[in-house]
Amino acid sequence: MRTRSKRLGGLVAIAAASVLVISACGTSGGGDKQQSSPGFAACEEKPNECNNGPTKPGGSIVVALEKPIPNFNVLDSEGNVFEAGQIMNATTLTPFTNQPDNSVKWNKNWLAEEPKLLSTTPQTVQYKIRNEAVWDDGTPVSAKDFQWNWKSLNGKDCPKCTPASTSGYELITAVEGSDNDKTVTVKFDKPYPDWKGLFQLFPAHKGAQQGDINTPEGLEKAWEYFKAKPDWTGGPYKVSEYQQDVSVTLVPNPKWYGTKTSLDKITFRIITDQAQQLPAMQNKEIQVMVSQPNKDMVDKVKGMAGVNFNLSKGPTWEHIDINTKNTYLADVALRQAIFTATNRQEIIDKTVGSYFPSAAPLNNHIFMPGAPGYKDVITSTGQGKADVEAAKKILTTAGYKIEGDKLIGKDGQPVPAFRFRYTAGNQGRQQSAELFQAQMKKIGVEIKIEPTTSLGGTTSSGDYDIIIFAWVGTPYVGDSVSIWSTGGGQNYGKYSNTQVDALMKEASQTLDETKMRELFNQADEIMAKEAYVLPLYQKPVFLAVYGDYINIRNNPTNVGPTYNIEEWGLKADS
Amino acid sequence: MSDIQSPPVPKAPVPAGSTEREFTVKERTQWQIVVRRFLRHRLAVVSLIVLILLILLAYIGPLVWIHKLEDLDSPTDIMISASNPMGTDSLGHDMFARVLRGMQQSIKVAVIVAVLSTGIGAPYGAIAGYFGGRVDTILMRICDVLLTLPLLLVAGALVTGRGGSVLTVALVLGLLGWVVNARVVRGVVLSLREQEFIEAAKALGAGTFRIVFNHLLPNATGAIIVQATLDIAAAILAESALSFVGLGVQPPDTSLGVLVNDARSAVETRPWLFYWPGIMIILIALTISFIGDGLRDAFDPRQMRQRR
Amino acid sequence: MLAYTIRRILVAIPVLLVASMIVFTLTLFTGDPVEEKYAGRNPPVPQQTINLERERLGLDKPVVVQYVTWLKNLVTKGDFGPSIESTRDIGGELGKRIFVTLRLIFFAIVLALVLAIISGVLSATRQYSKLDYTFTFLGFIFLAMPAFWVAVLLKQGALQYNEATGTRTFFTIGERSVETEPGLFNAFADIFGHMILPTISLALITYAAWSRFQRSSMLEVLNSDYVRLARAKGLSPRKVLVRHALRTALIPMTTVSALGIAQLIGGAVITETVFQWNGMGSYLITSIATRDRYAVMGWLLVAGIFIVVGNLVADLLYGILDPRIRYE
Repeated sequence: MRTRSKRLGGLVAIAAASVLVISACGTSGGGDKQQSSPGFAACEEKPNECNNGPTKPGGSIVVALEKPIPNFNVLDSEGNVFEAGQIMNATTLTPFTNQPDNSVKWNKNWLAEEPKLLSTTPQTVQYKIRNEAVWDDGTPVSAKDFQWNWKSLNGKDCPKCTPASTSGYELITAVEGSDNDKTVTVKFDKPYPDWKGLFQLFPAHKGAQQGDINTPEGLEKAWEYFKAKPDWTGGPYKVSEYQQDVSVTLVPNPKWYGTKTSLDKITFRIITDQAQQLPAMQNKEIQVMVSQPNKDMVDKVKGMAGVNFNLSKGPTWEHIDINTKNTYLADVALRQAIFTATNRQEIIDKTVGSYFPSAAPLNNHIFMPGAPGYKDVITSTGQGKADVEAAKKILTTAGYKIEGDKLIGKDGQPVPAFRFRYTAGNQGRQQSAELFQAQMKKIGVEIKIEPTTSLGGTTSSGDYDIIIFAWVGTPYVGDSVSIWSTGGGQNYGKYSNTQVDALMKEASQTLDETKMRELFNQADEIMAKEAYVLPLYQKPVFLAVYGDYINIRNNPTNVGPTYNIEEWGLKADS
Repeated sequence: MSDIQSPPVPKAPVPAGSTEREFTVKERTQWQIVVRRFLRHRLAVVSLIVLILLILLAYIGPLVWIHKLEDLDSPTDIMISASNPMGTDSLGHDMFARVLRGMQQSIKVAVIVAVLSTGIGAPYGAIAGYFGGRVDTILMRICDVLLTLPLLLVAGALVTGRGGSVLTVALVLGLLGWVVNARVVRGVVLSLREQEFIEAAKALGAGTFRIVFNHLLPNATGAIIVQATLDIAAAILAESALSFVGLGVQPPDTSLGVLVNDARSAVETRPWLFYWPGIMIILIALTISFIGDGLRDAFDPRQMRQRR
Repeated sequence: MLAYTIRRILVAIPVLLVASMIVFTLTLFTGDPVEEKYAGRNPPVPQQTINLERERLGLDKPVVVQYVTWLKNLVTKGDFGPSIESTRDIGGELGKRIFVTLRLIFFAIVLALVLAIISGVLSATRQYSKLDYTFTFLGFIFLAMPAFWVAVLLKQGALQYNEATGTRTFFTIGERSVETEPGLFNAFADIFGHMILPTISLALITYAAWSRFQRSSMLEVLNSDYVRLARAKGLSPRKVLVRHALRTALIPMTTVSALGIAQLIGGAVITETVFQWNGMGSYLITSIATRDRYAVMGWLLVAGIFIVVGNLVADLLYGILDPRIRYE
C-alpha cells in the first residue's frame, strides 16, 4: 500500500490519475491491488478446484500462445517447450500431473489405480492401465508405449534421438508388461526419488509403423515421426489443423474414454509479441491468455469487461547469483555483506509487488512455500533484510574498510566495481538491478549494470560477477542437484562445498521422501550461510479468460493451464 | 525504405537534367542568398528555433533540474505533479529527467550518424563520381553489398554480449547509412566534373586530392547539407526502431527509443510514459525535416516558385 | 538493353556472394546457436543431444568448411542449409513468407502511391498555399513518427471503433481468422478486417516520403523551360499539367517506388511484428534472435535478389520512360 499513501502526496496527481482510473476500472471493481477477479476469487485458497462448475455442451475457444511450436515431440530437446506442452497435454498421457498448487496427482483418466512403489531395493514401480484406455485408432494403451518411452529416452538404445533429458530413464533396467500388457512393471538400477515425473506416452504402434522400434534406426525414425503434426491422440482432444507459426486447432477425440469433454473446438493462436495480446484479448480475437505479467498488463485486463483473471505464484523463482570465481567475491565475508545489505522487500515492492501484492521473499533454494519440505533457511542468516549496519560489521571484521562511499579491500586497494548482468529487455530485472545498485552504494560496493542479449551464453561462460535470473522449478527436486554441486552443469557461479555435494548426492538417491527433504534442507542451510545465491521471490503467472468459460484455471507449474483441458467448457446457464 | 531502417527520405534532387546549368553567382554572395532564401521558409525558421530550444533543454536542463537521472526518490507512478511534470515510473524515476537524458542520447546518436555518413559518404561519392569508369563501378558495387546487409543483423552482432552503447548504435547506423550520402554526392559530382572550372583546375596541374576536396566537394555543399539533415531525422527514428527489437541503446542508459519502447504496453494504463518520449521523437524529427526542406529550397533555386 | 540487363545480373552475383560472406562472419559474433537453444534448461540437456545438434548444424567443422558446404549445397542442390529448428525447411519457409509480405505490402504501396501522387501534385501546383502546407505538414508528421507508434495508435483507434459500434470490423492480429463464418462475404470481410490496419500503417509511412518526392519532382518540371513553352503556346493549364508536367514528373517517382518496394520486402519488420504477420521481416528478427545462421543467410539472398532486381527495374524504367537515357 506504499504507493497509494505516496500518491496522496500530490493533489494534482490524484485529480489527473482518477480520470484514468475510471476508465480502467470496468467490472472487476474492488481494490487497486486485487490478484483475482470474482470468477477466480477462490483460487488463492483452493488453487486446484477454483472456478469450477457445470458446463454446457458445445462452444469454441481461442487461447493465445507466446511462441511458435518448434515441433510436437515434447520429449525432444527442441519440442520440450511450454507451448508444445500445452497442445500435447491434450493428446499424450502422463501417469502424474502437476497440479496448480505444485503437488502431483495421478491420472484417473487412463490409469486404473495409483502407481505404486512395489519395492525399494531395487526400486520397482507398478502402473495399472485402465482397460478402456485406447489410442484413437482403437489400439489399447499398453506396456509397449512405456517401453518405447524408455528406449528412446535412456540415451543407450537410440543414440540418434535428441531427448531433452535422460534423467531417470537411464537408471531403468527393465520395463515389463503383464496381464495382457495392461500392467507395467518398471525396475531401476539405482534409487530415483523423482520417478513420478517419468513417462509421457506416445503411441508406440504408430512409431513402429515407421520402422522396427527394437533397432536404433527404427527408434530414430519414430522419434522424427513424432515431431510432425500428430495425426493421433490418446487424450481428450486431437489436433485437426496446424498452420505453422499461426495456430493449432483441437477437436474432440471421438474415442476418448475419460472425463467427458464439452468444447467443440479449441484453437491455439500464436502471438509472439506479448504487448499485442492485450488488444487481441480486448477485441475478443482470443479468449484466454497466459503470460508472465507486468503491471500494465494486469491493470489493463482489470479494466476489460467480462474478463476474469488470476495471478498465482509458480515454482519459477527469481534470484541473485554471485560468481565465486571473481577474486573478490570468492571471499565469503564480502558475499555475506552484499546479501545482508540487499533489500529484498524493496525490490519486490517496486517490481512484482506493484501488481502482485502477495509476492514475498523466498527463503529456500530447493522447495517452494506450501510444498512439503519448505523451510526458511535464509532469515536466520540475516540476508536480504537491508541490514546495512550488520553488513558493514561483517566487512570490518573481515578486514575491509569503508571510506566515504568506497570499499577498501583487505590489501588496502579499493574493491573494483562488480558487473551485474540481467536479461536485456526484461524490465523487471532491469529495475531490480537499479534498486540493487542503489542498495549496494550504502556499503561502498559499486555495481555496474550490464544487460545481456544472450543469457545462455553469459551464464554458461560465467561472464558475470553478479547476475539475476530465474530457475523454472518443478515438483521434482532431484533435477536441481546439478545447480548446486561442484562441477554441476548448471552451477554457473562455480560454488563448491564438499559437504553440500555429499548431502545432495545422498538426497538424490533416497526414496524416503521425508528423509530426502531433510537432507536437501541440511545442504541448503550450508549453502545459504555461504551466500552464493539469494532467492528473491516466486514469479507469478497471469491467466485471463472471458467469464463465459468455466473450469479453466491457472496452473503456474511447467504443465500450464491445459492440464485439465478435458474439463474446459462454456458455463452452463443457471 | 523499410520501416525498421527508418522511413524513406526524399533525396536531394540531382536529376540528370541539371548538367547544363551553371552557377552564375559568385561564391560569397551565394551563401547570403541561401540564408535569405532559408529565412523566407517560415516553417523552417520556426523549426530551427524550436530545435535549438530542444537541444538547449536536453543539454542544460539536466544540470539545473531538481531530479537526477538515477534518482529513485520520487513517488511512483504519478501522471503529473509540480516536481514531476512528466510523471514518474514504477521505480520512482522522474520521467522528465529521463526524457531529457533520452533526448541527449538520441541527439548524440543522430549527430554521430550524420557526421559519419557525411564524412565517409561525401568523399567516397565524390571520388567515385570524379574517376568514373572502373573505379566507379567497383566503389558502387561495394555500396551494393552494404545495401543488402540487414541492419538488424549488424546491430545484433555488435550489440550481443556487451550491450549497445550510444556509440555502438551510432556506429552501426552510420556505417550502413553512408551509402545513401555517397550516391547523392556521386550524382552531383557526375554533373560537376564536366564543367569548365574542373577542366581549368586540371589544366593548372591540381592533384586529384585537391580537385576532390577543394573544388568538387565545396560545390556539392548544398546536397551534402540537405542529406545530412535527412540523416539526422532518419537516425533518430532508426534508433527507436532498433530499440523496438531490443538492439538499440541498452539500459541503464536510455534514449527516446528505449523510453517509448519500454512503455509499449502502458499506452492506456500509464499513457504519460508512452506519449512524452514519443512526442519528443516526433518533435525532433519533425523540426529537422522542416529545416532540411528549407535548406533544400534555399540551395536549389529550381524549387522556388517563379512567377507565371 | 538485353546485354545491359544480363551484365547487371552477372554483376549482382559477386555482390551477393560478398554480402553472404559478411553475414556469415557477423553471425559468428552473435553467439553459439546450440548453447542459446538450450540455455537455462532444467533438467540440463544431455551432452549426447548437444553433440548431435552441433553435428546436424555442422558446427563441429571448421568455419570455412561450414561456409563452403553451405554454398555448395545451395548451388548444386538448392538446399539452404539446416535451420536451428530441425523440422523447418529454410527454402520452403522463405517461399511461404515472401508471399505473406507481398500481400501485405501490395495494397500499402498502391494506397501510398495514389495518395502521394495526388498530394504531391496538388502541393506543387499550389506551392506555399494552405493546401501545400497541410500536405507538407501531414507528410512530415508521418515521416517523424516511429513506425510502431503509428501502429499502436491505429490499433487503439480501431479498438475504440469496434467497441463503440459493437462490431468487430477491425482485427488486430494475423492475416485472417483461423475460423470464419461460412460464406464468401464473411471470408472477404474477415480478410479485409485483418488487412486494413497493417496496410494503413505501412502506407502512411511510405506515403510521407513519396509525397515529398513527388512534390519536388513536380516543382522541378513545372519550372522547366518546356512547360513554360507549353504554357506560352497557349495550351490549357489542365492539359499542360497532365500531358506534359505530370508525365515527366512521374519518371523519377517510378524509380523511387521500384526501389522502395524491393526494400520493403525484407524490411517491414515492425509492421509484421505488431500485427503478427509471418512475413520476411518477422522471419529475419526470429532468425537473428535464435541465431539461426542459415535462415539469416537465406533471407539475405532472397531480400538481396529483390533489391538487385528492384534497382535494375528502376534503371530500366528510367531508360524506357526518359528517352534521353540509353543503356548499352
